[in-house]
Amino acid sequence: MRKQDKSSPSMKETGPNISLHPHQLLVAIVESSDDAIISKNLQGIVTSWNAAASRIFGYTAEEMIGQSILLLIPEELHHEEDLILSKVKAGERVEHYETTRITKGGERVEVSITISPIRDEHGRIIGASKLARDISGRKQMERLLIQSEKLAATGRMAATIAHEINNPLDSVMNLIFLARTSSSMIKARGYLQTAEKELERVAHISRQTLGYYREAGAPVEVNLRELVEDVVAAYQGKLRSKRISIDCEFNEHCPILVNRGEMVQVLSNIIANSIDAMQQEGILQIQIGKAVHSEVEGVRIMVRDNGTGIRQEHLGKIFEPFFTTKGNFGTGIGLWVTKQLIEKHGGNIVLTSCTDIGKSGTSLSIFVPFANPVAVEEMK
Amino acid sequence: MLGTDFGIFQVADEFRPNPIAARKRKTGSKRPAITKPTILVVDDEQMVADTTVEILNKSGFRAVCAYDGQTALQIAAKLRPEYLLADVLMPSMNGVELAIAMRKTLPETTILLFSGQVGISEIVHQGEKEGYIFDIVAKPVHPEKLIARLKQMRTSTK
Repeated sequence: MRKQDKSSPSMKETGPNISLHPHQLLVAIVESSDDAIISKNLQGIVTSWNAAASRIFGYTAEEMIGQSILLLIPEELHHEEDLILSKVKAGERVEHYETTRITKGGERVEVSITISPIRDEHGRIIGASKLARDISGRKQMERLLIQSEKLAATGRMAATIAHEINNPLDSVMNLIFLARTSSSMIKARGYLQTAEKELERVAHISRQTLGYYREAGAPVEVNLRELVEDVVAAYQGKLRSKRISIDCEFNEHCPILVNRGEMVQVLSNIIANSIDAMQQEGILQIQIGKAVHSEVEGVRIMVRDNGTGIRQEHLGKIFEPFFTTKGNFGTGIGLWVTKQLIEKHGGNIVLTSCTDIGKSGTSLSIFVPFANPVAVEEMK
Repeated sequence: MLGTDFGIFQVADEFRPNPIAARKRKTGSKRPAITKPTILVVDDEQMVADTTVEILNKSGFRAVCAYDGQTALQIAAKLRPEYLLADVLMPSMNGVELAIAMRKTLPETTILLFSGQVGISEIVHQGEKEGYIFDIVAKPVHPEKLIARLKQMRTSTK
């Protein structure tokens, strides 16, 4: 901290009844902060500890000052500290890094930390100041949001595929009625055989699409081509009524290790968005092929529509929760959840769009590794 | 539409010589000739259209089907059906559009729409904006209930 110029007024008016020395003011600010403010030296030893830090981590200042910061870090994350110190020594900040720490009671707490280098009067880095915000509340909300989006997605799909199920059911109802009231055994058998086929159609759609939300978390080997075909079949009604044609290109057999239900949710979200964006006679293009991203092998799925497109000013917010361009019809969490799910699998998602008439459309490119690299690391 | 319509008309029971029935019948009473009401069934799901037509034909109707709105309008112009039963969600011309066109050209026709889709409200709303309200029944519907509904619609308007 820079020393105050002694010739300037030593007491500053900070309000009607408050007069604090600037140094006292800064101390008061640190102590009244809601976020933990901790400073440490370059060996990782704690040199200051504010009230919020005590509240969040459970240790008093006396207990923590002089101790290693590693006391707060779960063992498997100790390598983070080396990474952080090296950045600090290089004069870099670490901003809004979301991670987990441990309290005195041994409980885990999710935090967002920002770390800045502390310099002495000569500009040399002598330590780091760390701000830790307790985000466990927010994280819990996010998890609930993803869960509720899963149900909303199920509801959306259910409404769309109701048509695919209700039509064959109507036919089956008619066929059984005809069989029952028929005087000819041969004709009756014929009606019943047709009814069986229609029921199989219903069963297939129901199994493949509606049941996904119940799935357990374990990843299984999924054939992407079949998955895409199943999801597209579920949207047949809407596709037909809007006369949207589909152009699917599957290069090579591409099995990936993912949670099947989540993949259905992702594809359903994206395809539903594309259908909404197109009016009559649009084209929905789906391409799947092997790809490599950041030296990881996997699959790239590309879904492109020639609908209205997304305006430039919205592109930056399109993956944010509760952002929608669909007025009352949009929940605003479809793409956000999609991104969360893909990134959870170790993949990434990129959206490009154009609103120029004649060339308008949106294209989503998703990369999914063959096996989740994070999961592989944890298994080792 | 290509094809040929074959109409087979059966002589009604009271005009056919039937000694047993004649003995049962009171002498001197006459039953009025019953004509079958005509119904045009329109659905792009052929299985639904065909099975519905078959059931209606066995249940005292004279039923004909079409798989799209354009064809339906052509048939209706000649057939002048008493009933129109149409699916809402169809490509190119949806059920509401078809129904509105029918109302304009054949105002006497009783119209019932049916649909397997929950989200047809936009289409129905479109019709309402133009001042048209139609009866809709949800699929799947038991054929006997469908027939009861159709008959009830006709008798309530008389």
